[in-house]
Amino acid sequence: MSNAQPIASARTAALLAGAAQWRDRNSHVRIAAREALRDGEWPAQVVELALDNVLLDDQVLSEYGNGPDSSGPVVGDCQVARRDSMLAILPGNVLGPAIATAYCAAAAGATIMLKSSSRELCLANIVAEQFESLGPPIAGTLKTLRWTGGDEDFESKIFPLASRIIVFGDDATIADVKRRAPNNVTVVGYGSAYSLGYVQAGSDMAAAATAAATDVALFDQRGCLSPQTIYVEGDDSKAILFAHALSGALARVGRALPRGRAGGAEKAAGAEFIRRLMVRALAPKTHALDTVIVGPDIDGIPEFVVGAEAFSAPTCAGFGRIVVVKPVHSASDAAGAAKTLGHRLDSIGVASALSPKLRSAFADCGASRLCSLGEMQRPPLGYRPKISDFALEDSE
Amino acid sequence: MMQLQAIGPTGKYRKIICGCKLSARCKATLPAGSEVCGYGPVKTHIVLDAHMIRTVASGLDRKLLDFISDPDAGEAEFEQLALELFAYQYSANQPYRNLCDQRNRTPELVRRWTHVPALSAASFADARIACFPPERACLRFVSSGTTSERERASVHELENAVLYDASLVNHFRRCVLPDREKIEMLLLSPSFEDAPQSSLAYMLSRLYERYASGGDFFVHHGSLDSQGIASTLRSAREPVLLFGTAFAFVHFFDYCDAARLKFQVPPGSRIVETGGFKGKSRSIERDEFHRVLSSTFGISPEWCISEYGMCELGSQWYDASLSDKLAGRPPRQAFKVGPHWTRHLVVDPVSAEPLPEGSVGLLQVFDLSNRGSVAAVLTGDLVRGEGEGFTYVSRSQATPPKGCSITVDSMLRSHV
Repeated sequence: MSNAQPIASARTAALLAGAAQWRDRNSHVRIAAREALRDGEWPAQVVELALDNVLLDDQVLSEYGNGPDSSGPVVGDCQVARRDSMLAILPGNVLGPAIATAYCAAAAGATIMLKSSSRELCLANIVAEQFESLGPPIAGTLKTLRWTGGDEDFESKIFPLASRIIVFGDDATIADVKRRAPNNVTVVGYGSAYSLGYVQAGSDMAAAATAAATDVALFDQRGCLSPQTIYVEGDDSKAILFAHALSGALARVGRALPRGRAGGAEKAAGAEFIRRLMVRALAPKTHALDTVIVGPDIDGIPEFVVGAEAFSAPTCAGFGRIVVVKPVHSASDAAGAAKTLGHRLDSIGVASALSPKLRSAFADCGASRLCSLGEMQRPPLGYRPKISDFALEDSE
Repeated sequence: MMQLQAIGPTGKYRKIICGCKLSARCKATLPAGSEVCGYGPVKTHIVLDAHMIRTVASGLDRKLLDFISDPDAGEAEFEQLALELFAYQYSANQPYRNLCDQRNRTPELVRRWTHVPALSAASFADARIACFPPERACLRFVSSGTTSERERASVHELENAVLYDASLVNHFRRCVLPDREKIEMLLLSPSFEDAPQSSLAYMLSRLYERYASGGDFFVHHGSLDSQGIASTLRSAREPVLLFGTAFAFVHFFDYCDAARLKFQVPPGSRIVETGGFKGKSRSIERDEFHRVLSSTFGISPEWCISEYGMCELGSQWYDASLSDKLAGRPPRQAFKVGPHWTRHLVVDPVSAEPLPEGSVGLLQVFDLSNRGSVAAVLTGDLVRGEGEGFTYVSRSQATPPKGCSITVDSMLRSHV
């Protein structure tokens, strides 16, 4: 008889306790994160909401945490640490992957090394300290590392120490890691991706706009779960009206979730995007409403930009609270347009209820996830990365 | 409304854009098939029909050609032509009109060429930027793409080649060949026949027809004929012109390195490189590149110059150093001058407002030879403006790398 089950239960209990701390705004981890991220890239309100959203799923932790332990054999009453660990190379565009990755790895019973992005260095350390304080069996399963990404000399030493590498980044970065990883090390890549929105005919426009504005505002469209283009069922006028509803909602949401800091390159790219949008935009048709709506200037960059364009493949800015709204005849046409993103398509957020008809329309477009607008930035734990990414095929 | 009532029933105008409150009444006054668009309560514009647009275009072509042919043409004439061209392009080019309307800079409000809204060069990839229907296009240039797989290539269509040809030969003569009628040309590029969508190949083919006493194109079926270039250089007895993309020269340097080759071309020979490196992996500094050019071919540095141009523009800018030297002036290295039918501004990358003299900003040009598309173009290149010209600094971070040199490089690398 194995002692694995009690250890798994202990792991689950520790993870559930840890997750509860992350959801509690007054916990020591939240206070530490708040302090560490103060005056950083993201305003305090964005930090709080991002951390609220990371570990929503006790159920996922229970389910996986009680599963077989793949982190190493049990000898007597002790679990032996694996001789090797997994390595996760984290992104810097959004907040949260450090925590989600650590918990996914721990739920799978794996040990992991986290390499933070230079843009966000503190969360991995806070989780590592939390794991230590939570005690066995998750204490000691997480190590944090820092190096300059692309340092081939350093990476040639660290990559062989990993049994698997989970890398977030653009396609070139992932390809580069795959090229340089030893043959016996599996590389799992999460590359650049975009999400879309869809507003069905008959939806409550104001409610859809408010929901979409929250998805847009969190992380300023930099994340793969941010809706870059929103298709609105109906004619051009419908799209223009929704664009105006969305800009109003973005102005309101902006007060609760101010936009993050933008560097010079982002400001220039934003200005260039607006210039191009003015060429592509629909001609005003509904009571001469503008079709490029630029929000108030905040520190040299518009708070938001909403453009209405004719139906076509998705337009993806990937930064700057820039959203493009396009009219579309049907959900099937929207799915066809979404399909053009290929492997870069992530989620589709739809207004109101997810009817079987809608599910069917979007079934084959390649989206990883279909959810409601307003929920796009709240994926279940284990969505990205997956908990299965950390499960070893063979226990040693 | 009075104006619209007066013109509506004549049938001269196919499409009228007017204040939205008037649309229904306007519609009633127009011949069947006319289209009226509401366009805001304060704007009233008349858009000419296709026949009128062609008539205006022919007249403009004549005036622009006269201007291009007259090196003494003055500032007032430029200003007048620029505004006339803007009014025409606003009328004939829907995507451009969108931009102007969005920025509230329309022909009746703009009084100086510097206020004409500039279209981002990247917009040539977003929409068809042409003042004529597709079936009237006689040339269609496609840009060399970008390093971003999601970016589409720019397309620049010409209704006729009259202004384009006049533009490219005149300024080339002034900057590259002011001292000679003809020269042997070694062109490190495919011919236009081999690359019918390349504006560079078209330009070199026209220059070859006009100014070549001999020579050839040395890129065939995607391969650089380095042996052919070397052999032609060895037998050259008269001055030669080597003209090619920076990447093509780099490929030739590789060949020369491997074969331990150096040349001493006849005095009066010159080199023009174009395209730069624009963010590609094998980039080397311009000064270093020109040093290698100079040492490989045995030519002093002021005889090695760079050309700046792009698919979206009809005109080119050349380093002034060669024409300065031949005119007995101190050579201005890396300082680019444009033809007298162009003007440029250096603008802030965010606000697009002009910057003070000597500042680094985005290059915005007004090119009268771009009659069939848009004359005011905002490039994605950062330059330092100085008087009549500019020095190239870098590609803007906000714009993906692109350029003719990249096409040639990828073509050559794929055939290694």
